[in-house]
Amino acid sequence: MTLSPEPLLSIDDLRVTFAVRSTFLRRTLMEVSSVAGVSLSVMPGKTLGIVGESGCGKSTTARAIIGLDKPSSGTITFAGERIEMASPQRRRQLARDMQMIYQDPFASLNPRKTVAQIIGEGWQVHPDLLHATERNAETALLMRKVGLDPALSDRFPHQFSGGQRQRIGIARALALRPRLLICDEPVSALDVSVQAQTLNLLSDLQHELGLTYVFIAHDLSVVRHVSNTIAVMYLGRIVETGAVGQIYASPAHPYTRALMSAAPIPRPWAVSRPARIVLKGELPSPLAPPSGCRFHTRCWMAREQCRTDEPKLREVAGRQTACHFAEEVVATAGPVGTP
Amino acid sequence: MTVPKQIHEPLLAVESLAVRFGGVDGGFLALEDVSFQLEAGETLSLLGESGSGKSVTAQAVMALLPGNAEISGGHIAFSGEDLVSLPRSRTRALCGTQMGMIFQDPLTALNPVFTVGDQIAELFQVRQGYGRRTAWSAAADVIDAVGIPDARHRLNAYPHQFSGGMRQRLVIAMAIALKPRLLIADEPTTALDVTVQAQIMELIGNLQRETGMALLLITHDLGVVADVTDRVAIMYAGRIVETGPVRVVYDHPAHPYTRGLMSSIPSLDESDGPLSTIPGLPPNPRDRPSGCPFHPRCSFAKPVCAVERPPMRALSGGRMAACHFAEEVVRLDPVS
Repeated sequence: MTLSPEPLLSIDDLRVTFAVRSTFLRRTLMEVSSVAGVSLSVMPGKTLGIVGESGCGKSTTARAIIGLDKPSSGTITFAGERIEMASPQRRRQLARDMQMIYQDPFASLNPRKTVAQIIGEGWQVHPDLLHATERNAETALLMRKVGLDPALSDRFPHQFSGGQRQRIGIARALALRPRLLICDEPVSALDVSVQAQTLNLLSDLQHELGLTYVFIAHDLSVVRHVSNTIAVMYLGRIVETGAVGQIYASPAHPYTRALMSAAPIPRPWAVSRPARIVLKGELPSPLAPPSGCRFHTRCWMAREQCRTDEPKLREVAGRQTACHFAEEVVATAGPVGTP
Repeated sequence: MTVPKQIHEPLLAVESLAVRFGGVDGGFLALEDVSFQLEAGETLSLLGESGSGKSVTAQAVMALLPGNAEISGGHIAFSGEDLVSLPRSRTRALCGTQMGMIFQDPLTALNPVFTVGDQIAELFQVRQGYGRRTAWSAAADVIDAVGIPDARHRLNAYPHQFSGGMRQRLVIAMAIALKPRLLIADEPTTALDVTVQAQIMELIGNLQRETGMALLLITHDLGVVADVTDRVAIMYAGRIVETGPVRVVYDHPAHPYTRGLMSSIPSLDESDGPLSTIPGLPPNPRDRPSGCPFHPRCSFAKPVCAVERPPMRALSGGRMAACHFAEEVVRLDPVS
């Protein structure tokens, strides 16, 4: 229809606010914006990586997309439909198209259900998707697809290793034939050798089934490997977003740069890499985010303007970045001295 | 003390260590034939995946093995004293004063109902007989040394009032408070964010340089190893399969398992193509394969590997590996 394809998912100025209540009478004392104005989009069949440290709002963004947390403002558009205020009935239908893979392969599977029951749970909520007589065959097919032996479908989660359990979680997510998979730290609980197997599986499935991924992780090399575009979050805001190659080659936001330089790599002597930037201080409390640029309290480049004016996302060197001095960050791509 | 010792003694020497976990089914060996040495001031990483035995090794050294586990063979010598045959009271006395330990989870390592000042001052009161006032002032000094701002005032705070990174600093403060000669760090940054991890590793490095203590780092993260340690020992299925200087081992692995690990981590620089993987899963400790425990997953395995267990052999570059075909593996092209 249109020449340029529409994104499968787009988020505009999303805010998710939680109330901090008193223990007595549950009075609202103050509000925390866990996600404070985030805009994102993913094209069909592509992967958007979201990186950031604990408390940056990446998981809350994912939960808002899938409907587990209610946005306080902003819009979420999925396949052309505004979904953030959808009715519970509509939400249930949408759940078919959007599935989630969780971080902890131990906590996310019901220990009292067999693998077949876990994978088939979605079909009880959506009985029209698959006739009851076809379900056993489909379970076997899904298990084979994720690399599990269908003969094990009567076993319970505790009889599997962490990597195998994560495969069960993936099979469960695929059972409803979704278009979008939200992967919240899907490999961070796995050992290195199993992590590689799982990442390869996710990438094979994406090509085979044309899936779109939102991939949340704190491991920058993993995100680099799977993503087409990335968004770097800090204290509820996106500080930099764009094509993955560009951002990794030359970050334009000081926070992205610090994050990239701090990631431990196995053979630092084999690559040329700018000096490590060790950020000073602590992540500020989201209850009282700093004025101006939220990163200024820890930024070695911060100037007076950063304390007062909040930088907006703007186009710099082929990506969007929210820093007043992004051009300078790109220009000084070499080793930087810390203060 | 002025007469130099005739025979050089490493600070920590672990020799053919075996640890057995009991159970109704007869139990299993968590560690078999583990040997390594650590000199004063040196850093060694024990690297391995879950179940490889790296944490059990640390627990055995610190006499912290769980109740159903026992040292079933070998020796652990700490500056010449064999910890295995020492009475428990003596090993307990060494822990904390001569050896300190940092645990993975900084929240469970601290007592939530006492202030951090109480917990750190207690060390000085119990171990060194300080009075309360002196102990608190010593506590303020150590938490200042680990970079917690406003130390004297923060002593009155409870653990939950600190962030994850600050709590790990507190745990480090407790581990180094009595100036141990050996610091054992079991996954010290696994629960922390990348930028906090960088701060904590920098802190451990600085403390080590200032105090000259030796560091035994237990980790699953190949990158952290490269940042801080001189030597690495790679563990698989309860044994050390390769050990040597980090650069030698990482650039030209001599054991196929090391090589498999190195090539299965994604790189920060490029993203194309599937990752190479190690097929299969680590073996169940109750049912380890015959011969070389890695042979069912090894792409270099030959019939001999299923029958004969390869011994640790010295190779060039100051490294040792337990593989029948180590020379061939070393000669392969370096992993990208």
